[in-house]
Amino acid sequence: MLWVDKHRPSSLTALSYHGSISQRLESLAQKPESLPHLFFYGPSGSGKRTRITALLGAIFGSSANRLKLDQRTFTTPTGRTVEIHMVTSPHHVELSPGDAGNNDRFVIQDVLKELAATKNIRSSVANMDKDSQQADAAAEIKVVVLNQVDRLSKQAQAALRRTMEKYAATCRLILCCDNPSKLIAPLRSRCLGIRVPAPSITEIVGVLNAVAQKENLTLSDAFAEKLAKESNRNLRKALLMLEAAKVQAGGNQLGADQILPSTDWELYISQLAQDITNEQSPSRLMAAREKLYELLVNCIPATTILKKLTGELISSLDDSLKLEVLEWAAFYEHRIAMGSKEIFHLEAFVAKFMAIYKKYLNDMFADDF
Amino acid sequence: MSSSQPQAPKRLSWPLSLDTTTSNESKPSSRKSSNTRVSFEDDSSSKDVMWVDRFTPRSSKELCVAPKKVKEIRNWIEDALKHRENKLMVLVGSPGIGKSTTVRVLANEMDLDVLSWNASYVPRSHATFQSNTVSVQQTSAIDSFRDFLQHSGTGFSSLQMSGEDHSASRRESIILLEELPNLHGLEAARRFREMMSHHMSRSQAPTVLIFSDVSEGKHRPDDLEKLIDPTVLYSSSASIRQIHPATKPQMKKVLDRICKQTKCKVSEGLLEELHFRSGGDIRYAVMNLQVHVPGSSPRSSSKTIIGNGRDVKLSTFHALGKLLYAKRKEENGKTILAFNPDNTLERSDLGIRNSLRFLEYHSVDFFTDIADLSCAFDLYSDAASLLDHPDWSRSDTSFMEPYAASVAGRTVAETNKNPAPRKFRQFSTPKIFDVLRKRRENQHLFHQLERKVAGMHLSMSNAIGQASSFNTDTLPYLRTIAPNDVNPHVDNLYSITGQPALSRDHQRNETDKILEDQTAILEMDDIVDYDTDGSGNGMKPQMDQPTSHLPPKAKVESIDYKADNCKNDPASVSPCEPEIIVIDD
Repeated sequence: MLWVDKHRPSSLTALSYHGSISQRLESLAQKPESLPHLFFYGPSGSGKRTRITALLGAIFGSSANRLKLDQRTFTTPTGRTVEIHMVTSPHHVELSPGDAGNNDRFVIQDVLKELAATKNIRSSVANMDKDSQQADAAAEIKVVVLNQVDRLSKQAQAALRRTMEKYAATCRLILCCDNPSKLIAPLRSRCLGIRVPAPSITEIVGVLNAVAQKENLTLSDAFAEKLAKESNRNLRKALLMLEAAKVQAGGNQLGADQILPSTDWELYISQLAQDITNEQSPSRLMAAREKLYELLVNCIPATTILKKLTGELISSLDDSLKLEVLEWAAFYEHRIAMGSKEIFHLEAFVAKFMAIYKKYLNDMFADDF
Repeated sequence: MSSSQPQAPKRLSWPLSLDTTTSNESKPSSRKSSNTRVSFEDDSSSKDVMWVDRFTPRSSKELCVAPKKVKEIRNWIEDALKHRENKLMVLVGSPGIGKSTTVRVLANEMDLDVLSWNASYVPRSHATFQSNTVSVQQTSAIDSFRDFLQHSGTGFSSLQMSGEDHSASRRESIILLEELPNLHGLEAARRFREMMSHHMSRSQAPTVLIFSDVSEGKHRPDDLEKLIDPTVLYSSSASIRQIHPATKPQMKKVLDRICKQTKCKVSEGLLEELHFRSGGDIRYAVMNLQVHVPGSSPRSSSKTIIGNGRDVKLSTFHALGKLLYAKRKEENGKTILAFNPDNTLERSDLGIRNSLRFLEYHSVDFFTDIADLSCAFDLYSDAASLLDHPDWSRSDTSFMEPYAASVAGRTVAETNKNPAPRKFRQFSTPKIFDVLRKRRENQHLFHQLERKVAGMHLSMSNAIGQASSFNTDTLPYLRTIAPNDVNPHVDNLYSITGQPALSRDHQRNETDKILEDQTAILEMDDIVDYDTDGSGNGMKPQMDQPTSHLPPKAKVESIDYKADNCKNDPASVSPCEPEIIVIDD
């Protein structure tokens, strides 16, 4: 089991940072019958889902951890069937409706309807939990956790809006995604928004040290800080890096001079950035295109590629060009987000950068003489 | 294709004649005189008949197909009947050049029955006679086709099986497949392939398949492989023969003959124009002749051809070549484009979406200046975003297509101020399709992997959803942490990033290999004349043909699809200049 999963806190009290959020969730868990719909958002690797799981545990007790993986098949009105995997416990269902693609709204409606129609058998829960009175109240409601709601189509979000109110008596929704702006405003206003910010460097260092201690690892402070910085304050990434570094080091000592494990695709993109800064020509663009293809084949999202590439390009750029390049990067990222033909926009950006940079070099050359 | 259909009415009256569309049955008079001169039916009775039907060739001499080719086909049929080893011949060629007619005429001369299937064929077992009415059970076309193959595979027509004419039942027959059942859908195609393989293994009668799904005279091997299993198609028992469009003298001969028969006079110019317009399609030429000849048409004595001639459908490469080379011409002192950009994409057989990918993929090679190229890519990006605006994704998006096509069509012509020197370039399918397909596969693999990793730890429920964070964050480290889990599933970028020097070589090798493959395909498509090697193995050059790069000049000729007609007759003009595809400096 990966350390990320192994050392994940399972209760609200065990959470090591964002104390105020934990307190708030704690108080919400006290009165499950008045639990509002919740909307967790924040950058990836900040602990949104850890908090959701912990909250469910606090509300329903240990039975919320009796999970099983279900595969469900839905039939759309047009007769198409969609297969969705979901994780279920006696009290909640967790699914990622974006998996259903265009048919996501049927999936959401079906799941909510079905949940609302059935009720828990109270006794089975009551016997198990220490605090049976709270569990009684809790058993009245069911929770649907929707992951990656930013991938929901507009239609599905509109459908959700009505369904949320209709089944509010028995069903609570917990939505979770990175970027709240992809959720339509009516949905946001129906939920209690909980922003989970990325942990600070010191918080990450704290977690890293705690994990290192549990794993009998000697972790130097300098290296821990390096990891935290390199991870972009993404705790999941930091922990994975720690584990990878440990495997690479081969021992239980991680000194300050330990090489940072880097991701292959990031290395690859920085190579690509170097390539296109070194030479600007159609043939170089062909080479760059091959690299872009390689990245896409490896399922790196186009927006991620563009973002990382821009970052790499900007770092070595003259200040006078930064603004223009950034502007185009934003322009093309917007286009990628709007449509489905990402490669056009990626290549157009690379060509645009080459053109700008070459003009800059030529002008400089002309000035010198 | 089926220009020879004097038996068409016979076919329609089928259930009573039980599908014997044997050429002899329908033309008893011509059997005796098959090798002598043509016997045309009485003019009075055939006044209303289309000339195409009226002047269908009755002997192999009248055929508008190269005599060499006719002889080959005749030899093949003879061999097939003698040894029963040759089972299948595929005749490939554009429509209307006389493929089916050749087979029918030859069968007639060789005293063979021609068995052919059409959609209204119903096997005898399904038809029951009740007094005077015939009730026919509904069967799907593909079932009916299977029954046809089963019946005809015995080598005798079903009518003769019923025992009217015992002496004739010994006559051999040949199966002619011109019309095929609807093969849309994988299941139907698979069944059809099985049927054909089965048929080939047991059929007594040689089978001729007419395949006219060609673009600019050539077929795509894939299309044919969809119909017939490659193992059968490229085995020794099958052979593929290409029929070329009629050359000018051939067509002139036929048209002259018709003119003589009908006692009308046409100018030389009209004949030439007919040939040019028809592009070797003899059926089209004859039809047009009938319309334009004085007396036979209401509009008498028109000297020139009305209308625009056949709509030329541009093949993908042709259309792309036009746009990418962006030839200009002088007119009234101004330099203008030698083509209409809007028209060109419209006529190409790819949709605008695919064309755009093709254009974008191949554009780079035509530019020398990165600033120009950047402008071009901007325009492509514009066109791409015109094509998928999210708000319109559910409704009709096609109204944006003309705009996108217009933008894309003009891109190179507008932006390429410093074009690369003209040279031969290979157009291949953009790699992006491969990339997208592979990405889907990988996504699936990653997803499985994610599930496997999460399987031990459900509470985090990584098992659901396809978080891209798994690909970008978790997976790279997972390779280090648990290499045994990951490596067998997916190749990773480390193979390239790890050794940058090696990687470039590696990539170049890869492109070289692709280039070689493409050359091989080109050779297979264009250069290998299925007839010259005579063995009927023309379709297997993947192994035999050297995959070396041919000098550009050689390709110029190879791509000209009329090349070997030109050799026979230097005066003939190919109807369509291949000027676009290949330009040598």
